Amino acid sequence: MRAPLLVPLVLGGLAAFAASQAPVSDSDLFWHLAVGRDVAAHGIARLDTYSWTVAGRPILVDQWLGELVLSMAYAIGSWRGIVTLRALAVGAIAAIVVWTSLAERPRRPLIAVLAALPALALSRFAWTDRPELLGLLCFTVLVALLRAGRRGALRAFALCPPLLLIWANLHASYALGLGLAVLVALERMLVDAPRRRQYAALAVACGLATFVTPAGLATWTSSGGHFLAPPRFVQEEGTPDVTTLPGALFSVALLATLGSALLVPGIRGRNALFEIAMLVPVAFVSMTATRHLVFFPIAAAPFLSKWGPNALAAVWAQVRAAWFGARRTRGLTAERESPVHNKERESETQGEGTREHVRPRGRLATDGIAAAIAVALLIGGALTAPTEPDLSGFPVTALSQLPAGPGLLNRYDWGGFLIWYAPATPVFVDGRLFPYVGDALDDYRSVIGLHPDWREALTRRGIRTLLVLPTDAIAVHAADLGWPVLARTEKYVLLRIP
Amino acid sequence: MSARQIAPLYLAAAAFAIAVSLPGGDPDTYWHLASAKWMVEHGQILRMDVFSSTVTGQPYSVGEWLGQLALYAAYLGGGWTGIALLRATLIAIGAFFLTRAALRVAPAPFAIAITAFALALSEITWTDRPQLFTLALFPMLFELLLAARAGRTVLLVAAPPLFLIWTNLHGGYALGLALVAIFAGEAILTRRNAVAFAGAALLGLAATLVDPGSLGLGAAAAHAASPPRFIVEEAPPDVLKPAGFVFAMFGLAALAVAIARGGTLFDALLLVPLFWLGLSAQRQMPYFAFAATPFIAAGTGELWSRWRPASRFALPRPAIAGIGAGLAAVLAFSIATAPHAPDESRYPVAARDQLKGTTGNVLNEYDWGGFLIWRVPERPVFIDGRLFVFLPDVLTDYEEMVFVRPRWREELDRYAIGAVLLHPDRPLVAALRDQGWAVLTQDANAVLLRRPVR
Repeated sequence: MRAPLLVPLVLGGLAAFAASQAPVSDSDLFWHLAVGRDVAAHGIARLDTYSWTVAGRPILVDQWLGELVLSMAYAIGSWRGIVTLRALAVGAIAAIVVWTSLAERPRRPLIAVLAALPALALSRFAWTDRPELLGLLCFTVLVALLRAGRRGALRAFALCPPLLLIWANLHASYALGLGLAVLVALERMLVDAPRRRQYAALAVACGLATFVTPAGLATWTSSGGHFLAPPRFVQEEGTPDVTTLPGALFSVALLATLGSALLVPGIRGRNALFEIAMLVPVAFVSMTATRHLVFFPIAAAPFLSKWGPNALAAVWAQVRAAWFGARRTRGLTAERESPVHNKERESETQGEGTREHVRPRGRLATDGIAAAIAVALLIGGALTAPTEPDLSGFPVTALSQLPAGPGLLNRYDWGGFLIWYAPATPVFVDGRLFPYVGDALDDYRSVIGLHPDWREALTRRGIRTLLVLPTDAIAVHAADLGWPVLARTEKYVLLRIP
Repeated sequence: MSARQIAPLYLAAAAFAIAVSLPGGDPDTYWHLASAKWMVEHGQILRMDVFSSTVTGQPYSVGEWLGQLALYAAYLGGGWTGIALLRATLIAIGAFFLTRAALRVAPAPFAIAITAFALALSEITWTDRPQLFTLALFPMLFELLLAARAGRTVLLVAAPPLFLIWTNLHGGYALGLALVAIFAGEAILTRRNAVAFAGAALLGLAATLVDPGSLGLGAAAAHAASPPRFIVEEAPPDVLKPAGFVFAMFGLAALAVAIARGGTLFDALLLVPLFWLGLSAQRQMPYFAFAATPFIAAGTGELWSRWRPASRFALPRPAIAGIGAGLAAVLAFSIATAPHAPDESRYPVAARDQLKGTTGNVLNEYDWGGFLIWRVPERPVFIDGRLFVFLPDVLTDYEEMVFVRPRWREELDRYAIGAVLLHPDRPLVAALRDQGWAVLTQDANAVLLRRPVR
C-alpha cells in the first residue's frame, strides 16, 4: 500500500515555514558562499586564497557543489534566497522522514509522526546554511530508497548510485550513505540469492559513484580523517551528551529502538538482518559527534513506526495476562496492534492496498491538496523570511578599522564572516579548519590561550593585530601589557601589537 | 569441578593478577586516605573541610566514610601494596559474580569472552577509591537478584544488609537500588514473586538511610543527571577512544542481538535505563556492560548455535587443570611483584620541598589537590577532587584565575595567593611570568611561582 502524502506534505510545509523564520547567522555560511561565488566565476579552486597563514596551499574541494548551490540561491534571492533554500531542504527532510515512517504503517499517521518526532526535533539543530544540510537531505532520501527497495520497489535501489554521485560532491557525509548502501546490498545478497549479482553491481556502482568528484580519492581520505579524528574543540564535533536537548532526543530514539527490539516478538529472519544493517552502523556514527546525532533518529523512525506499537502491545499483553488473566479481553486499542493480530493486520493492510486502486481519484485529490498546502507554506515562509543576516554575534563595527593585508589574528568563529565582509584582510584561521590543523591552528591556540610559546608564535607569524573576545586570555593580558586598543565593545576587542 | 563452576574462579584470578600489578596514583586516593587518617586520629567522622584554604570548616559529605576507612586500613596493613591487594580483591569479586551471572544463561566460551570485555571496559574505573566497592558489589547484587529471579528468593534476605554496608562504602549504592527496583518492577508487572522483590527493594531503601554521612539518594540522582563535565570520567563517552569504543560495541551488540533474537520485559527494563546511564558519563559505562553481559553472551551463543548447531565447547579436564596451574603461577608472580609505590610521575614531586617554604595561600592545579593534601599537608590546598564542597564559587574563581579571565588579578589578591603551582601551559603561568612572579622550580609537569615582594 502506498503511504498517503497528506501528513508528510503538510508537516514538511510546516517545517519549511518554521525553518524560514530564522535569519542567517552561521559563520561557516560566509566562507561557503565565498567559495561558491568563486567556483561560479573561476571554476574550482584547489589552493587557498582567503587566509595569509596557509595561502597557496591545497584545500579540500569536497563540497564544491553544495557551495555552488548556496551561491546560486544567494545570487537569485540574496539572504532570502539562502533562507528559502534552507526551508526547502528542511521541509523535504521532514516530509521524507514522516513519509518513510508512514510507509511502514500506512493506516496510523499519528504513530508515524510520533516515531518521526525525535528525528524532526533533532533536525532543528541541523538547520545550518551549509552543504551539510543538503547532505542530511541526501541521507534521508537514501533511507527512504533503501526501505522502499526492501519493500519490493527494486527501482529504488537503482537510484542509490546517482544519489551518491551528487552527495559525494555536496558534502563528506556521503561516506555514511555509501557504507549504508553497501551493507544493505550485502544483506540483500544474503537473503535474496537470485538477485545476488544485481546487488553486487549496486554496491560497486555506489562505490564508484563517490569517485566522480574533483577530489577523486582524496574525497575518501578527507571524510575518513574527519570521522576518525573529529576536532573536539569545535562544539558540534564534541562528544554527544545525553543531558543536553539534542543528546536527549537522540537517546529517546536509541533507547526506544532498543526497547522495541527487545519487546517485540516479530522482528525475525529477513527483517532482522536488514534492520541491523540499517540501524547499527548509523547508531555508531551518531555516537561519534554531536553533529551526527540526527542520523540515527532519521534511520530509526520507520523502525519505530513499524515495531514500536507492537512492543507496547506486547508489554500490555504480558501485564494483562499476569494481572487480569483471560477476564478482560476487549475494548483495548493496543490489542489491535498485538502480535497475535499482526498477521490479521497485515492482511488487512494488503486488502487496503487493493482498495487503493479502487479509489485513486480521492487519494490523488487529497495528495494534490496536501501539495498545495505545502507549497503555500513554503512560499509564505519565503515571503516572510528575514531579508538580512543576524550579525549580532560578529564584530561588525570593527570592519572599518581592520588593516588591509596579512597580519591579523582573528577568532576562529569569525573567520568566515571576515572572508565575506572584509576580503581585503586575509584571515589567520577560519571554519574550514583542515588546512590549518597542525600548523596555523596550533599557533592560534597558543596565542589566544597564552601558552608558553605565545610570544614566539606571535613573532614568528608576524601578527600585528588581534581581533578577539574581551574575555580571551590574550586580550586580558594585553591590557596588563598596555597594548593599544583600536576598538572595543562588549563582544570584541581589536588590539594593535606594539 | 565443571568448566561452568571453575570459570568464575579463573576469570576472578585473571582479573586479580592484572589489577594487582597496576600502579596506583589516582589523585583522589590521597584525599580519601587523608580523610580516613583524620577520622582515625580524631575518632569521629569527618563532616567538614580541614584540608583547604578556601572552604575550611565548611560542612560537606562524600558519603564514603567506611570506604575511606577500608582503604586506609589496607594502607596501614600493607602500604601501597595493601591498597593494590584490596583493589585486586574487589575487582576479582566483581569478575567472579559477573562470570557467574553470564554463565547462568550462556555457553561458557561466550560468557567468558563477553565478561572479559566488560571487565576490560571497567578498567577505567580501577582507581583506588571507594568506588571499587561498587565495582564489586554491583555484580554481586546482580547475580544475587538473578538467582532470586530464577527461584531462590530466599537469597533476597541478603539485600538489606548488603545495602547497609554499601551505602556507607560508596555513593554508588544508588545504582544498586536502581537495580533492585528494576527487578522489583518486573516482578510486580508480571506478578512473579512480587512481594519478595518489592520487600527487598523497600528494605534495601530503608537500609540506605542508616548512614551517618550519607550522600543522599537525591544528591546521587542529581549527580547522574548533571555530571560535572570538566572531569574526564564525568564526560560523555567518546566512542572513538578505546573504552568508549568497547562501550559502544556493548550497546550496538545489545541492539543487534535484540533485533535478531528479541528479548523480554526484564531485558528491556534492565538494559534501557542502564544504557542511558552509560551514555551519560564515562564512569557509568561499565555498569551497562555488566548488565548487558548475560544478554549479549546468551544471544551470541544462541545465534552461533543456529549457525553451527553441532558446536561443542567442552574442554578436556587436563586442559582445565593446566589453565588453572598457569593462572596460579601468574597470580603468585603478580602478587610478589605488586607495586610498592604509586606512580607519581604526573604530579609536581620536584616542587614539594619548595612549596613548603612558600608563604600565602597556594593556588594549585585541580588534579593535584589530593596529592598535595597527602604529601604536603602543611600547605592547605586551593581546590581538590572533593569537588562538591568547592561548587560553585571556588571552582568559578579558580577558572577565572587559571584561564586569565578579566577578574583574575582581583581574585588572586582576594584569596591572598602567595604561590601558584600549575601546569606550565596554563595561561596564568604566562601572565604571572610577565608580572614578575619568581619561578621557584619548573619541569615538564609543573611550575611553581612565588608572588614578588612589594
